[in-house]
Amino acid sequence: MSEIEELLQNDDFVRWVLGPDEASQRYWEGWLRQHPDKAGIFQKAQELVRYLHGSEQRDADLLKQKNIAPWLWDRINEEIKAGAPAGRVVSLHPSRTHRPKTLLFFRWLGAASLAGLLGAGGYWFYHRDRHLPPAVSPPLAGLTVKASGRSALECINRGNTPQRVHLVDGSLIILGGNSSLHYEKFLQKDKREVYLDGEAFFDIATDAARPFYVHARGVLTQVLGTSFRIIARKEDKKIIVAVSTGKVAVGAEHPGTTNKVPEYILQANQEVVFDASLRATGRMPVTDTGLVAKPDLPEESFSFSDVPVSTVFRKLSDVYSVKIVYDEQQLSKCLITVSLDALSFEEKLALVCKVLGVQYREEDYQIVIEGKGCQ
Amino acid sequence: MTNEDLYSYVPDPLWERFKKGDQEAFAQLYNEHIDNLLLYGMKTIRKEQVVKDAIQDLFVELWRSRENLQSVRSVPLYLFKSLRYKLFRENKMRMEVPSASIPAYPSLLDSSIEMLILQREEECSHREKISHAIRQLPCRQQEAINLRFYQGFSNEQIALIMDINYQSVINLIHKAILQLRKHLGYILTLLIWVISIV
Repeated sequence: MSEIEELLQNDDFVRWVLGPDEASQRYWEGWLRQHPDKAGIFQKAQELVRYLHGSEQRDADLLKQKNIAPWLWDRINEEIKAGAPAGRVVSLHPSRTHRPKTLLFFRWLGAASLAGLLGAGGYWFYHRDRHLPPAVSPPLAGLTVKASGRSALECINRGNTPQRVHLVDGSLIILGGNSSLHYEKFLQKDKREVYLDGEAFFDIATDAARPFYVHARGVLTQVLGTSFRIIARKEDKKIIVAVSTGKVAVGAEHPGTTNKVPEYILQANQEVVFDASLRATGRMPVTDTGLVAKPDLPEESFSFSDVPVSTVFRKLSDVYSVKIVYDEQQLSKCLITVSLDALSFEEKLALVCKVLGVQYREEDYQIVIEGKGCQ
Repeated sequence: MTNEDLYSYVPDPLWERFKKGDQEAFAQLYNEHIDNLLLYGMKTIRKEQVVKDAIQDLFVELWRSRENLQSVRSVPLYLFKSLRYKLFRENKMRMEVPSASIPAYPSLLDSSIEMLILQREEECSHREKISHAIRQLPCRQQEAINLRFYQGFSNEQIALIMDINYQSVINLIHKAILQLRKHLGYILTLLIWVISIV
């Protein structure tokens, strides 16, 4: 048996790599000091375990997307209630629509919150109690948005409550307390790029043609469409990138070099921690599952019913911090009913303009609306 | 199997509540273990319907016989062992099916976005190949890999779950690692080498 395999067959070693605690950490650090000649083998074995775990984790994530668990729980309860085995033919064709919602099902929802304190899914509740803001907050409350030059914006959250920042591409950034974000108002044509100081959760809209870059205190994170959290606070002396869904590429940006090859590819529920001199610990399963739970901020609603079009434009302009220029007199009588949820800024704008029968163009970092409108 | 390893005089509190008929404890047991049980089932028998049926039977039977169940030291160990027993009882044909003819479990390559990142990153494509290589392993080796490196069971616990002796578990893991090396050849060596210099 090779020396690597000896470690892979060692229960304590595997247990430590999968979930280190203080005692095991001490033990294996001591082991390494006693066997300095085995450091290479040790590291290889460690990485192999992580790799095997990561590979299984991806299958687990995929399976979870099928959402079998709640459906199966209903089947189990139906069978228990019926007092006799349920027919397999029925179970081959689940029909959620005709299923009476049993009391037990609601019980399950309640229990889910309890169980969640231990499981990954339930961190959510724990998170909500600890960090989340009051249920309703007006758009951009607590957030200062400053123009920085003609084309750029700086969003500063001086409070402790996380705040939403909407980008025109449809991405949502939840900016943590005492954090700031810097970006081009309309992003760039070939890429999307933001600069973070502090903490934020990113839910990035998919756009394979325009990769999304986050620069955070010397660490560059590159994605195409995924969600993740970055903590890069000056006082922490470390930078954490933790992935919630999808994949991201992360690496240190060494000053003076143009080498932008990412050092780590992180998958869901993995993180990497950089120290102040940008040395990384390596890819690890996330230690605090709270980091990768999407913050439960109330959704911004873009549904309008019989409102003056100026209300719609004002809302868009507020949320995206983009000035919209239009002839108020000409459009003042237009009432509009439209639902713009889940669209990017441009899609929202295009839809409103279509409804009104007007055109828009981007000029000098503003949006200019032209046309007669409803008159 | 030795009962000492499965049953204990230090009972799991949630399990005890469930045995007394606490429905929330039952739901909590389900929520805590269902994702791992589903994954393990799919790794062991790649037929979703068989896995779902076996898990449904398992939990229905647990509830119905709760008063007569023993106290257990490790709830996951008990659940995995029970599920495996059910899977094989309901799927006796499985052993005769060569692994190559089993359609691969939905691959992770199905997202074009992920592919794009993969293509950018040479190292990552190696990882993809390793993932693929794991899926080429015989079922029992994949099962052992899942139990050991994902579910975190010890070799002794794996022996209990799979109902084989301790040495056979060691051999299974040994073969799996050898097979991975054979399938991957230089890529694995390269990957390990790349990682070790970072």
